[in-house]
Amino acid sequence: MSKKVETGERARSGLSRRDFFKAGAAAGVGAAALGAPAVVAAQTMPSPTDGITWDYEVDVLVLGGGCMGLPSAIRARDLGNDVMIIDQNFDLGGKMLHSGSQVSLGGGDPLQLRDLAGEFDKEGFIQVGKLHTDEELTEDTDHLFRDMTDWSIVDSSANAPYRYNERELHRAWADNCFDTRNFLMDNYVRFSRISGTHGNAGMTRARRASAFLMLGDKTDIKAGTVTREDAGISNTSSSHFAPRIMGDASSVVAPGAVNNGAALSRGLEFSAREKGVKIMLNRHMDEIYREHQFSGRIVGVRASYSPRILPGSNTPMQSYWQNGNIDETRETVYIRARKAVIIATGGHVGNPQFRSMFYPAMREPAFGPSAQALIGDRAADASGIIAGLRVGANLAGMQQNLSYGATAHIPTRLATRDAYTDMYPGHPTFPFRGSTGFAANANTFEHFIAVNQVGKRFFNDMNLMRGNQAGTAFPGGNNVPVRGVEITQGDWRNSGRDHIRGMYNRHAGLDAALQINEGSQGPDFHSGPLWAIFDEGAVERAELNLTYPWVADNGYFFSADTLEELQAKINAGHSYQRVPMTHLADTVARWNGFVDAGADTDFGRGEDAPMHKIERPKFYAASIVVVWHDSYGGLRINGKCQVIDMEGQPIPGLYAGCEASGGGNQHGLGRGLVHAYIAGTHAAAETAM
Amino acid sequence: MTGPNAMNQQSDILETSFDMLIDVEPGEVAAGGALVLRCAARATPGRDLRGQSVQILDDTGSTVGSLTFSMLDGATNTTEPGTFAAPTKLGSHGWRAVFAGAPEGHAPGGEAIHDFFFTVVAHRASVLVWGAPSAIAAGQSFTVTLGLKCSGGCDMAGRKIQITDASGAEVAMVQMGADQLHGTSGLHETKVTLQAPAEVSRQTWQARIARDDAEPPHEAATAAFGLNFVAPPEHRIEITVLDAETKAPLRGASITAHPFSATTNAEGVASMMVCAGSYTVWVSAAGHDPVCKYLDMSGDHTSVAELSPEAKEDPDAFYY
Repeated sequence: MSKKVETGERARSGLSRRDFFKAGAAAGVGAAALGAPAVVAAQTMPSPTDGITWDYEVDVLVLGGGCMGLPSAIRARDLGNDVMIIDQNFDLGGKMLHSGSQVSLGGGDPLQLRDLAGEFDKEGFIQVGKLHTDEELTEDTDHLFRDMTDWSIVDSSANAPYRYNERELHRAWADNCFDTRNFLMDNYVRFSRISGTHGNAGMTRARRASAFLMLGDKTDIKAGTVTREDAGISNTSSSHFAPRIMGDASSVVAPGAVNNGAALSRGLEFSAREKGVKIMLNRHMDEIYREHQFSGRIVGVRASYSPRILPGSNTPMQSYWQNGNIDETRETVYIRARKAVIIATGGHVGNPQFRSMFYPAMREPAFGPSAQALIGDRAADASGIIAGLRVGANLAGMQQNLSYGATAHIPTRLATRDAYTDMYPGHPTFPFRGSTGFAANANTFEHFIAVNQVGKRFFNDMNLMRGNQAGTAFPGGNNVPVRGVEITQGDWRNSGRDHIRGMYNRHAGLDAALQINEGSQGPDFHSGPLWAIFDEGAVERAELNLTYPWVADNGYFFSADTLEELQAKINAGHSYQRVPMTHLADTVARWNGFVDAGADTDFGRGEDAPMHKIERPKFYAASIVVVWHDSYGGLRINGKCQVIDMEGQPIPGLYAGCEASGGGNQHGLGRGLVHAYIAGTHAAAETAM
Repeated sequence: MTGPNAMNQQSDILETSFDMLIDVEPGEVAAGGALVLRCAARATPGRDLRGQSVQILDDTGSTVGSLTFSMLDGATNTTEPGTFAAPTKLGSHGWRAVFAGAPEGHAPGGEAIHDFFFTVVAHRASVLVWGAPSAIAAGQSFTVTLGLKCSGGCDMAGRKIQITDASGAEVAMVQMGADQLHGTSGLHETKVTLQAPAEVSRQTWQARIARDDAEPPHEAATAAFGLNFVAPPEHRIEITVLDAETKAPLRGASITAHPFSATTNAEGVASMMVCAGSYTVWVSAAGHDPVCKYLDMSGDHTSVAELSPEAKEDPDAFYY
């Protein structure tokens, strides 16, 4: 009760008298000097919202319609609220739509219990039996919480990511996994058998299930079916329904089952629209308003029109479904939230300035976020985090941003800027990437050399693709739980030096790729684009299929009769090739000399794979890109997903989660979906203004 | 300029100002090659020049073409890029852009004139050498393929390429034939048989085309290529390469025992002669994880290598 009173006082003045004097006494003059203007501002300055005419008014306003936004909106709507989602993109789903739909929860969640009991799904789609032993499926929330805060578990880079996890956050996360799994299944999400565990979702139990649909005559979310065309046709086409071709889920469900983010995202979207969540697409949140900048309650937002228009078109792109969409094209609208604003804007991976706080080399704009064709240039632009900071929020988890393999990394897909995942023609955003790209793993690099923007090699090319081992690891592998390996929670041996020596598996190719080179110019010293260089012999040996849609004339793939021509084409045809690639021919000649000599004295090739000359026309360049997939540093939140200010207090009426928040090194959908459930629950319970 | 009228006079100048610019791409153009010109013009006060043309005059004052304004972005009018044939005479050239519709008083006759410059360079020939065996028995003959291409698109049939050995001595003078390599645009290819020296060594030879003064002229060009001359190989390595799962033979797999290498046939068999000694033998095939064998060769070796299919891009195994 006293806490509630304090919140009210804080809402009016921004800083309680008690806190003000306590802060002044503890921290001296500096803190007092910092605190005083806030009090004065709150009492004497006009509110930033004075004079605003609100164009819309709802109970709960959700900023973003991805894995955090969609379910939090549904949850708040379920609890009787008038709810609106705004999203900068033309369609809902965010990166969730592009994902593999792997949702690792646990703690004795309904799927673990279902599989343990030998039961099947209610609709009877699942035919395969459970995939794990009883022990691998048995746990409670305490066990899950200990896993997610286990200081002793190291990853393949010898970091121990869980040690930094915010305890309150993960306690709440573990406590809400059960209800979240049920909530998702109540909203048209069908889950497969539990199969392993996703990276950084704990080590000791099986917790992962993916969302599926069954192939059928029509795409019908209620019936749980999708047509082959909508699911995507292998090696041929994606669809508007599923930007990535849905995968074969027969091993975890039954013959005819397909899975990926479309099954998860479209199910949730269908439910949100069916339940009457209002949806305003093409709408980018630009500012969050609080009664006073650093005090009082969150009031609403300003948002601008952000249509996406295909090259050569004049009309904005349209969402897959339209029911529930608000047709709003005014440049600026103001939306008031009577109860709460939920920041579900995603992270900062699309903002080179922001992400360079963590890795300065990633100021290089040549390298974009994952799924950028789908989500657009304004996605994951840190706008939610920045808007939160402007109204007094604190940050958390900044040091966790680079502690997982999927953050900044070099993916195995070449010849497309959008290299994290594939996409085939058929999804309306395909023209933004132009090519699917082709997969090239470490083996394929036997036939390539990798060069930087000036045409020089920078690392053992074979190891470029080997530096991205995902997640926490243990002797025997990182598919958890690891059979035959005893893992004791919190045991010091887990991070013992012998253990680290046994499982360390990091290559620094990423860092070498981003290093300053002869073409880097201050003040940013961009390292520039990266290229795999190969010849016709490589195409034959590696059986590369260099045809559309895997490659295209989109600035990310070039072929030429001579190396000089190849160099000139790259110089002229790639947007981020800022300096001439002057060394390519010399580099290839040097490489060919190493092949003749049988040893690469520059980077040690030859000991790990055969070497082949690059000499037979035609010659090829396929872009290698660095992708920063997801981020773990963001707004500081508490166990209720309330955004926390610089003094550790919740900002009234402001919630955040998933990539817009920080404090939990946890990869994937499990993090965001549970945050969504928590935030939706608590936002709905706020008192309306 | 000082005095009470200074401001007014300056205004008068501003009112009639007319700036014109020609963008030249590339600044160094191959003789007779494509010169892409684009004109931008800004008048004060702003004027819409769309539909009006700029004449392009060459060094002699002859009109070689024109550019027409088609876009107006605020105050700046721009033309579409126009492609012109560059002169064949090497060296610096000064051309002139003339716009007849400039304001009165800006220039005699109301013309605006902008001179622009570019350099014509000789065509660049690219010489390529490929296909030499990775190991050549000393004293034996071997074949390489020569390639020749002109940056300006000239037909290079009949041109001569000189091949010199490590000492710089000419070992062949090869006249390029009319054949062009399939899939390329104007890349002539000609096979040539050469003779390995008697001594065992690793050498760098050169293929060179001399500068010519044809119309248009070509710069000289050289390609270096490495050759491994080895003692006569006496032992045979024969490896049959199979898919580990299906046991099907893998065609096109590489067997590498530096400097020796071979490729498997349709039966999955690769065979090569090597010198006595110790080798790291790599077996690699598309879509499979390579395997490595260590062989001490003092006699013939025959074996089977089973290669496991490499892990596919599996959403369950990766991040996503």
